Amino acid sequence: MERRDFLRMNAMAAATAAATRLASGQPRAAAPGGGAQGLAWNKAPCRFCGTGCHVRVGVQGGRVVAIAGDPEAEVNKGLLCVKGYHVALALYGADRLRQPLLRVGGELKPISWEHALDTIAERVAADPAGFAIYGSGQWTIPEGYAANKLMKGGLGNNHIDPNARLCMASAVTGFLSTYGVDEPAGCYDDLDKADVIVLWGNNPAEMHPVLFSRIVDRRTRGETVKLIDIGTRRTRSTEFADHFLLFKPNTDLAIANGVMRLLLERDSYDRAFVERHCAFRKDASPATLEGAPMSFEEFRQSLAEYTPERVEAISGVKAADLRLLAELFGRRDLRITSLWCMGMNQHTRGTAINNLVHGLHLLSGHFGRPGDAPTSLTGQPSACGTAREVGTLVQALPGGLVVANAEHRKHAEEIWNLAAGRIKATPGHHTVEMWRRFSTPKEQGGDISTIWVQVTNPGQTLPNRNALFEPSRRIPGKFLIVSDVYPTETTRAADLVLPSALWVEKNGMFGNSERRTQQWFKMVEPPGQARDDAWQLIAVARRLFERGVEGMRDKDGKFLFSIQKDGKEVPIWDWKHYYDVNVDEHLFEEYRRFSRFKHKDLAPYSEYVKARGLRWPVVQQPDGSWRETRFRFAEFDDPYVKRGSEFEFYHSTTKDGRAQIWFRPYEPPPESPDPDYPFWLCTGRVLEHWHTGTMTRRIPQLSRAMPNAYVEMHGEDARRLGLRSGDLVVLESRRGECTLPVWVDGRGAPPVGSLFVPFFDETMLINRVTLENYDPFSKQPDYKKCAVRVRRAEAAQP
Amino acid sequence: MTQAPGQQRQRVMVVAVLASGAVAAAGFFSGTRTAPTPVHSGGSVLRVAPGVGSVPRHAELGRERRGPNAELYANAEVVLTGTLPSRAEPAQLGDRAQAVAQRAEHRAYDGAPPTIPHAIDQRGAPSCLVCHQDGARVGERVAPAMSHPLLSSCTQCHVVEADPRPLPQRTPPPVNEFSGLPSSGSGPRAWLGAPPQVPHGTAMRERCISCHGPAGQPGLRTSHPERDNCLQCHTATGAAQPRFPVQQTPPPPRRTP
Repeated sequence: MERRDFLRMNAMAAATAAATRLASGQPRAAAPGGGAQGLAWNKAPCRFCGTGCHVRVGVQGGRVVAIAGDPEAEVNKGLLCVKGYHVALALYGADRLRQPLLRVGGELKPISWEHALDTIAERVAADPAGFAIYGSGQWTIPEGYAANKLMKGGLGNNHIDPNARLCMASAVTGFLSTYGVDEPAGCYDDLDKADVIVLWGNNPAEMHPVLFSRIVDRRTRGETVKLIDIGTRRTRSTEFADHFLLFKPNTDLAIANGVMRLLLERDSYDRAFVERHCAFRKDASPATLEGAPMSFEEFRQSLAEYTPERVEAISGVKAADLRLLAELFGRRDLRITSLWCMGMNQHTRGTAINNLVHGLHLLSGHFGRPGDAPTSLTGQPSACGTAREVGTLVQALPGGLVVANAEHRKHAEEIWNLAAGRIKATPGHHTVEMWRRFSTPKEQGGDISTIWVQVTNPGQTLPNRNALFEPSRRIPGKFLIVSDVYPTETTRAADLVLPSALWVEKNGMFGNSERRTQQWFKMVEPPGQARDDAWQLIAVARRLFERGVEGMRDKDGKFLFSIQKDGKEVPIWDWKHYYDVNVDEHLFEEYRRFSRFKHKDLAPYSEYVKARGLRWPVVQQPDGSWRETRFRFAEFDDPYVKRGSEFEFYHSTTKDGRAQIWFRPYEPPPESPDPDYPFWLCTGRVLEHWHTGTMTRRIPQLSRAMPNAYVEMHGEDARRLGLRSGDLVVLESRRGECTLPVWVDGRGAPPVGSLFVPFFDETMLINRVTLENYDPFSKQPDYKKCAVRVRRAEAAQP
Repeated sequence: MTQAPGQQRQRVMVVAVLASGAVAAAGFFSGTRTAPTPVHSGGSVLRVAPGVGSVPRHAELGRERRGPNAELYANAEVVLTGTLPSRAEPAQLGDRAQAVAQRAEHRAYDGAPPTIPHAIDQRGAPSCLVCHQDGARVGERVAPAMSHPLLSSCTQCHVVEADPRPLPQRTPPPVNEFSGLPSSGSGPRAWLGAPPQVPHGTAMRERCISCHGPAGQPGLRTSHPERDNCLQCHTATGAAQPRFPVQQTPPPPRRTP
C-alpha cells in the first residue's frame, strides 16, 4: 500500500470515528474550547538556527503540544519558518536516548548514572592534560560557562573548543582584526531600513528564512529594497534577487577588491568617514591577526591590479556588474547592508574575505547608520552567546578575554576566586588539531586521550572524517564520551553515551546573531534518565572534587560550582536537588561579571525573564531601568562612544578609536578541479533540516519533505555523463567517497562544473569527501570547495 | 417547504455576487489607472463635520474595505462556483468532524502551517498565489485561500508532505511520539443562538474566509458569507489563544523523578 493511501485511509478512519462518537451522543473529548483545556503557554527562543526567533510553547498534560510565533518578539514579529513551527516535535522522536550506555565487549550496554560519572572522573583524573571537551553553539550560555570554568579554571586545561570553530570562527577573526572586538556592530533593525541588501555567498531564503522574509515582505508593503545575490549557485534567494552575480569559488576576494578599487578610482569612497575613523592594514610577516600598518597611498597602489577586466577574468563576474556594485556603494544616499554566513566563513581565506567586506563598508561609509551595516549571520542558536561571548574557544575566556593575556587571566582568576596562575597561557588544540591528535597514537604525538562531546555530532560534521574521526575508534586508549539526545554518527562510535535533556526540558539561555541574549524556563520533564548537560558537567566536577583533584577547589577550598542557599550549600551535583535552586541564574550572574571588560555588558538574569531577549551592551540607566544597544560604535545609540566623536571603535587594535581597512589579496584555493577531479564540490544546508538532522530528520513533516541528501548537478553535466535525476552516483575526492542520487536542476542550480550536496543526511556522509584545510587565523576548515569526480554507482544501494 | 424562499435567496445571492463582481472589476480597472485620486467628481463625496473625514460612496466600498476579510468578494469566481450552504440545508452531523480530520491530516497540531498535498516547483519561488491568494475551486478540488496576510516566501513555512523530487525515499519516515494539540470543539456560545466564539488561536488565521468562506468545507462554512467583519460578532477568546502573562519570577523548582 502506498504511504499516501495509508495516510488517507487513516484520516478517513479518524473522521468516521469522530462522526460515530458524535452520532452516538458520547461526550466529546473537546468540550467548548476543550481541545485547549489545561493548555499553558510560555516563551522560549527556537532551538534551531542563530536567527533567534521566539516561539510560544503550548504545554498540556506535561507535554509540548503546540507552537506559535511570538508576536512580541522583535526578531520574528510572530512569524516562524517550517522548522520553528515543528520544533516541539524534536522532543518526541521515538528513539530518544533515555539512559547512560557504556561500550562493553564492543556493544553499548545500559549502565547507571553513578557508574557513568565515575567512569568519566577516572579518565579525567588519570590524564587531566589529555582530556578535551568538544561542545557547540547549541550549548546554553550557562552550560558553556560551566564547561569553560571546569576546564580552564578547574583543570588548568585549555583543550575546550566548540563546533562553532567549523561555523563562524572566521567571522570572529574578521571582527577582531577590523574592530578589535568581536560581533556585529549592527543588528536586524538594519534589514528594515536598508535600500540595498547584498548577499555574499548566502542563501537566507533557506537558512535564515525569517530574516529573509523580514526583507522581502517589505516589498509586499510597497517598500523598495534591492537584493543583490553574489553566489556560486542559484538558490531560492536568487529568485527574489534583482541582480545575481555568479562567481567562481574562492574569487570573492577579487570581487571585493575590485569594488574598492573602483571606489577609489571614481573618488566615490567616503573620504570624511575614512579620514576620521579608519586606518589601513596589511599582512605582517610572519602573519598576525593584527597585521602591519599601511598608508592610504600604499593601499590604493595595492588595489591597482584589481581592474574590472582582471576581476572578471578571475571571478567570472562581468565588469559591468562590478561597476554596478561600485556605483551603489559609492552613493551616500543609499543604505546598504551586507549579509553572510558560511559562504565567507568556511573559507581558507575566511578571515581575509571577512576583512574585505567590512573594509568595503568602512571605505564607502556604509557603516553605523540604521540600514548601513556589514552583518555576519550565525548558524547555531547560541554560536554568539555560548561560543563567542562565553569564550568556549581554545584561546578565549568569558567576556571577550583571551588566555594569552596575563591581565585577562588575572581577571578570570579573581572572578573565579582561584589561586594566581591556575589558568594556562597557551591556547589549547583547536577543533581540527584536537581531533587529529585524538586520531593519532600517543607515541606519535596524539596527546589527546579522552574527548567529551556535548550537544554536537562531529562524527558527521568534521571535514575529512576518514582522517580526523575514524582512526580514533581503532586506537587503544582513546576514549570518546558523548552527551546527546538521539543516536548519531558520534554516539554510535562512542565508548560512553550520556542521555541529555533538550530545549524546554531544562532552563536555558541563548545568544543570537544580533547580540541578543535570551532566556527560557524548563517546561516539561526530560524522558527516562535524560539530564541537563550543565548538571552532567557539575556532577563530574563534584566527583573530581571528592577525589581530591585540587583544581576543583577555589583558593578558599570551596567547590568550584558551590551554590549557597540560606547559608547552606545546595548539593546541585545530586540530580534530586539540581532544581532546588535556579542553577542557570547563579551561573549567569557569575558570568555577567566578565561582560564589563569589553563593553559587552549583560543585565541581571531577571531582566531577561521579562524580555524577548536584550541586545548587549545592556546598560543600566539613572532610573534603574536597563537599556539595550542596537548600534555599536555609533554615538547616537552606543553609550560607550565618546560624546562628539560620531563613531568610536573603542577597542581598536591601534588604540586610537579607528577601525582597520585591510588589503587582502586574492589567492587561489588549496585545491581546484583538475583533469583527475574535474568538479567543484560545495556543501551546505537545506530549509527543512538543521545541521546533521539529528532533530529534524525525526520530525515527520520535515523528513517527508526532504528525506535524503542528493547531489545537485547542472543539466549539461548530467547529459554529458548520461545521468538522470534519481540515478545513483559516487562522488570521489582524494580523501574519500560518498554515494548519492543526482538531482538535475534541483532545489538550487549550480553552474556547469559545480556540484552541491547538503550535509544533513547521516546515511550519505559527504564529509568523507571534504577537505580539512583551514584558514590560518581562524582555523576554520573550508567545506565550500574541493575537487571531486563523479561516476555512476554500481547497482548496489548505498 | 422552504424551497421557494431558498430559491429566492439564491437568486438574491447571485445578483449580489454579480453586483459585487462588477464592483470588484470596476475597482480593479480604476485601480490600474495611474492617478486614482479623483475617481469621482462633482460633489459626490458627502460633506461631513470637520474632523470626521469623508464617507465613501457605496460603489467604493469594495476598495475601501479594511480588515482581514476585505477581499472577500474580490474573487467573484470563488463565490460563484462555491456551493453556498443554505439555511434550509444545514451541515450534516459529522461534516464538521470530517472537515477537522481532513485538516489534521496536513497539520502537526492545530495552528501548525499546513503541509502541501501536491508537488511544487522546488526551485525558486513557486507560483502559489495563483490559486491560494483568494482561493480557487477546480472541480472537486479546492485550493484554500491563504489564512493570513500576504507573505512572500511561502515555502519558508509550507513544505510538501511527500517525496519532493523524482528521487526515491531511501530511509523510512521517522517514528515520532508527538501528540499535537487537537482542533478545539466548536466555539462556546453564551446562549443557544448566540454567535459562537472563535475557539482557536487567530495568529496567522486572520482571514476567516480561508476555512469559513463559501469555498470552505461543509461543517466549517459560515451560514452568512455576506458579512465580512467576522470579529464583530465572533470574539477571539479562549485558552487556544497563545496569550500568557510575562513571568516575573522563576517557577517553583520541579521535583525530578
